[in-house]
Amino acid sequence: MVQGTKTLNVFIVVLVLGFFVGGMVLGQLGPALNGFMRLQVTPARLVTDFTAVVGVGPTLVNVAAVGALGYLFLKINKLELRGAELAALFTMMGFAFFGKTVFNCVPILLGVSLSALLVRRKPRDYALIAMFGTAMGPLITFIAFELGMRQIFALPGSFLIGTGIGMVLPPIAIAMLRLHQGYNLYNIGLSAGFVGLFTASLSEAAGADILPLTMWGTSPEPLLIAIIPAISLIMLCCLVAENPKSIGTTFKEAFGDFARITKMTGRLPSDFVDYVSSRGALLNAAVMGLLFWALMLILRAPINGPVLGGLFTVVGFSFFGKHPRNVVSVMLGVVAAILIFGLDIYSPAPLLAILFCTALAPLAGEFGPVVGFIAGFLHLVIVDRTGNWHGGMDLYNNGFAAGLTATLIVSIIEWYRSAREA
Amino acid sequence: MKRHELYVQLISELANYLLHGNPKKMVISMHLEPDGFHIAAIDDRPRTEKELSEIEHSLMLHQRPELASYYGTMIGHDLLGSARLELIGFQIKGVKIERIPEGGVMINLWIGNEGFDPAMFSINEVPGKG
Repeated sequence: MVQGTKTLNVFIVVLVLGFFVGGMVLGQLGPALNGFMRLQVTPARLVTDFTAVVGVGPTLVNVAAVGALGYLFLKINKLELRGAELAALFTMMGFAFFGKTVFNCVPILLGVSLSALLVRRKPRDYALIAMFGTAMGPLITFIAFELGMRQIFALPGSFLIGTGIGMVLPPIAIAMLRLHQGYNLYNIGLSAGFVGLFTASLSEAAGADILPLTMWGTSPEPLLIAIIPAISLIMLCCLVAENPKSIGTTFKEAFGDFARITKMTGRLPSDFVDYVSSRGALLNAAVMGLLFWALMLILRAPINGPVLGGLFTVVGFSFFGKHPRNVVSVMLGVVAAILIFGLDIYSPAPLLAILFCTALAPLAGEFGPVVGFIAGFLHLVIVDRTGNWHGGMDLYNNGFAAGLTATLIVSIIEWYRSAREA
Repeated sequence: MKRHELYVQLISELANYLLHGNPKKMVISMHLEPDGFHIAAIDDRPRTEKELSEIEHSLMLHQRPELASYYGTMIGHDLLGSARLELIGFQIKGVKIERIPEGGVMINLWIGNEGFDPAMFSINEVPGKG
């Protein structure tokens, strides 16, 4: 194990343990575990803020449990922690604030692993698809606890269908990747949205009612507000831990690597830990987390479960594609669309779009800020509509919208360039 | 992935990379063995030491099966934007980059299954991958 990877392992273990201990203390042990168990049987479709359903303590226990599950999955598959793995782990943990539970993640992880074995590959080959694929978790909870089936059929049925969904995810994810050519960082969001469109339509055709869910916490919780600065601080401590004898030199080198990262396009797969260094990636993630956290505070947005999920995803993908230079123009595009169309910036869809639109960062990184701005603008226009298509079954609804936006823009640029040069 | 598809995709990505430098000459050859193959690509574009080390860095990344089986499927397909040698780097077992007397560069790549021994090939000075 190389030095940087060792630090990253310590970082994740500290984070998972911190959430577990924090959740148990805040939730007072017994009630925290009860709340955690309640979350496993709670409908998890978009947007269900777990902090509003069971409170902060049990939600943090759920975040720790989902994080531990993801970490264990990586260890079972003998994968080292690098940029892509950190992005997947942070995404899993972030969405454990509003949709992912251990119950609804396991069938997907199993299904994708079976899919790998089916085509004579090792489960580790599709480990990232499996981890990101837990976006389809709400479908499992929907079948188990929302359809009104008898539990004796609903539980095994949801597990089997979840496993089946996991098995079809790899071919779909690979096909979707080719649509946008790696310019949408949340490719599984597009894939899961595609699958969710079919499953929601099938459910409705069979007579199921898929009613919209909105559980959105608005009361300020000091602990939730403190999470992102605390994580950024831990990341900076990890930086120091790599070379404690010479902190000045360490930070100087980290800033140099950070500067190199900001010159990259961020197109999939831009693993900053591998391509540059773990210290540069850690610094980038700390800076990005603090920037977006400060933005939420300036906007006076509620730091609730979904907003934290968005911030976690920003931090995670700052190891794998996002940096300050390639996210700004996309975000400005979203803000411009919010202002032009007179939308309420505090309602879930526009607010979450400000965070999750950064999936389109590679477009700005490769083709410049103007393209990034247009991408952000179009993303906001489409994101509210796509949520209804899959009935909230795809937790990465912004990934779905970003995939469609990226496909549109990439198609036009590709046609223009090839036709003009021909 | 069928083997011939992999040949086509690797060669496409490599050609895409070299053609981005607008060379006047480019030659790509392939040497097949039962459990692996060797690709050699030559162009005539002069490169600085920094450029050479960047090529080497991209190609000598760690083997990443989880990236190769997923994002690696973009190799040779998605050619909009800059070429990505990293996608090749996830898949290969050995690499050697050298200047040629004509002023360009020769990139040697060895690809194979788990039992594959790049040393069996005629160009046998294969640096180990990181």
